[in-house]
This record gives sequence, structure tokens and C-alpha cells, in this order.
Amino acid sequence: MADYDLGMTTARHIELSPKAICQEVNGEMVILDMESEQYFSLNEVGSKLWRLLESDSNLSLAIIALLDQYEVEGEQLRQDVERLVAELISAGLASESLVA
Amino acid sequence: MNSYAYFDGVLQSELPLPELLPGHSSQASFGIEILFGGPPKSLQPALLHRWIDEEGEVELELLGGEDRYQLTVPGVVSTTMDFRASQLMVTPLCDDESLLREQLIDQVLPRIMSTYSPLVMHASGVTKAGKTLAFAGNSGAGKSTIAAHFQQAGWELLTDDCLKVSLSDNNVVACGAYPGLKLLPDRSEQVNSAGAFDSPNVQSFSKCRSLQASSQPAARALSAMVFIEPHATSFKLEEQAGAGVLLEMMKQTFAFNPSDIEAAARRLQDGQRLLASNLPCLFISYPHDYGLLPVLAEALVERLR
Repeated sequence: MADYDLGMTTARHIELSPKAICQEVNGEMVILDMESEQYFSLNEVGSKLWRLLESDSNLSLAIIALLDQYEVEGEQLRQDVERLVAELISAGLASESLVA
Repeated sequence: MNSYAYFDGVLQSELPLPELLPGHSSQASFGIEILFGGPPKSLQPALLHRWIDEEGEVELELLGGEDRYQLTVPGVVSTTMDFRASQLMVTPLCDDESLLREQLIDQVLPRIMSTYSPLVMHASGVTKAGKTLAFAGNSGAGKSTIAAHFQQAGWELLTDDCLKVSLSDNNVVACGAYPGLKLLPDRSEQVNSAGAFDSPNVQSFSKCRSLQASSQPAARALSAMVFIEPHATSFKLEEQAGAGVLLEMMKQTFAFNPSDIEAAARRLQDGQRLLASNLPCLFISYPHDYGLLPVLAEALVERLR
């Protein structure tokens, strides 16, 4: 497992919308939000993050799992993931909660 | 009852539909009976979905009752059907029969077809010598204009607006709704400059014109799916793959009830299977400069070689 400092005492949980249905294609993903009837697409890394959050909503654990799969600086990956999560939340595809 | 070909099935209709070709139930993969003139059956007023146009007007709405659906184009036509959509009761809401038929054939029936087959796309289609092309895009993107140009060049028109796409023995096959062509008046004049519509089959259809070919709809092996990008300022043709293609495919797919999550999942899965079969998917953009159509057609045909 990659050496990555979670740096927080409360875990951030990202819950994916139950109204979102997804389909992988060539490692990427198309998501349909049944609430807004909007389609979205995710690249390969975004698709993997989505699958990780589907199985466990703990964001830090998802970042650690991604670090194991990609040769990238932890801080860079964290920033990219934060940006994507913010977009998912903004699009109504996910919501965030903090768990002590 | 009149019998008409629609996709690879047949419509048995009390309402005359002169835009369609005669159909033969012996070769049909499905059959829909259309009754005409009766009052709509009363329903529990459960609104399932409402389609809103760019001006914010309701263009279509779907109600669901205990044992039937009602699909209505406000002020034009109301269609009540059982859950299997095998029998429709069409109730006119206006006196304009041409408008009623247009909305029934091009708005209501494609959505009903999507209950029979998951991928009914907003696309035109042409075929020639074993090559079949589909052109998908939003209304006004140029699907009919490009199809008209190919028809002028000797290709057979499958449809100008609605195409059923499916997998058969791991091959992607496409079947048009009916071989009619409608063009906005300005585009009709442009494309017509070569005299393509000097045909006895030209018919008046709302504000547009319709041209019927002579063949009955049949499934053809699809050579490529071409997506027309809107608002183009320059000419471009490129092949794409992956999520971007599936996303565009889904945007151009008719849905009977967009709120039905299981049906939406089936559309996504079928789209993914189509792409997994290595169907070439091209994206084109061209300014609506009709002088560029021959260049576009030549580039597409070259890609098929």
C-alpha cells in the first residue's frame, strides 16, 4: 500500500446518488442522472474512483487505492480527486458527509 | 384497417397514414394496431414524464394509469395504450390532420418503438452497395440535409429521422422507421437545386416536404455511426471511441419513459455492446454551407473503404 498521510481524524464519506446509473466503456464511464436526466462521462481515473466509492464511500481509502494503481504524487492525486468530487457533488451525482 | 410498414414491423391503422408504405404482416417482426377517433380512456392522473422544448413549452407528456399509458402532444394528439403498447387509441386534439399524422409518426410512435427495442435513435440513414451510414444529431443539426445529399448521389434513403439500431449475430444492424424525407424550407431549396425532388412521390407534409422511396424498411448491416456536431464553424471529421461516443449515442436515443431506471440501464448496456462490436463511430462538423456536402460525403465514403 502506498505511503500516504490521511491527515485527518474524521473520515470524509462520499455517497454516490442512488439516482445515478453508470455504464463502463473502454475503461471510461457514462453516467446518467435519472434526477436531472443529464448524461456525464468520466475518464479512466474518474471511472475507477466511482467504482471505489461504490464499494466504500470513504474518500481517503479510495485515494489510497488509486495511489496503489497510478504512479503519481499523493498531493497531486488528492487535488485531482478533490476537484472531481467537487464536480460530482455540484452535478448532484454525489453528496458528502463526515464521520468521526 | 390499413396496413403500413413501420421499421421492420407493421401498423394496422384505422387512421390513413399516406406517408408510410404498405406493410405486410407476414414479414413483420411486430404489429401495432391503431384505433382512431375514440375518446381517451380515463386514467388516474399520474404524470410520469413531461418533455419541455427550448422555449419552455410542453411538447409531449406521459401519463400512467393502472393498466395503460397515455402519451399526449398537447393540442395535437393523445394516444392511449396498454402496457404492451400493442394497441393504441389515437384521439385527435386538433383539426390539422397533417400535423396530427406528423406528430404521431415522428414523435409518438418512435417512443413507443423504444419499448420494443432499446436503441431507437434520432438519426437518418442511407445505404448503397452493402454500405449503410447512420447520421445522428439534434434537430436542425443537418441529418436530413446530409441524407438528402447522399440520396442525390444514388444512395437509398432508409429514414431521415428515426433509426432502430441493434445487434444481430455480433453485427450492428439498422432499420429505418420509414423512407420519408422532410427538409426545412430553406434547406429544401438548397438541396433541391439539383432537381432531386422532381419525383411524383413528393408529398406535402406540414411545412416540410416528404419524399418516399420505393423499398420497404429492412435491417441493414451498419457500416458506421456518424454524429453531427452542432454549431460548427469549420469542417472536421474524426473517429472517436469510449465514453464520449456512448454519451452522444444516449443523447440521441428515444425513451418512452425517461424516468424508468431499468429501461435506461438497458439502453446504456445495449449502447456499450454496440461499441464493443467495433462499430466505427465518426464525429463530423461542417458549417451549413451546402457547397461542402460533396466534400463531406467524399470524406465519409473514403473512410468506409
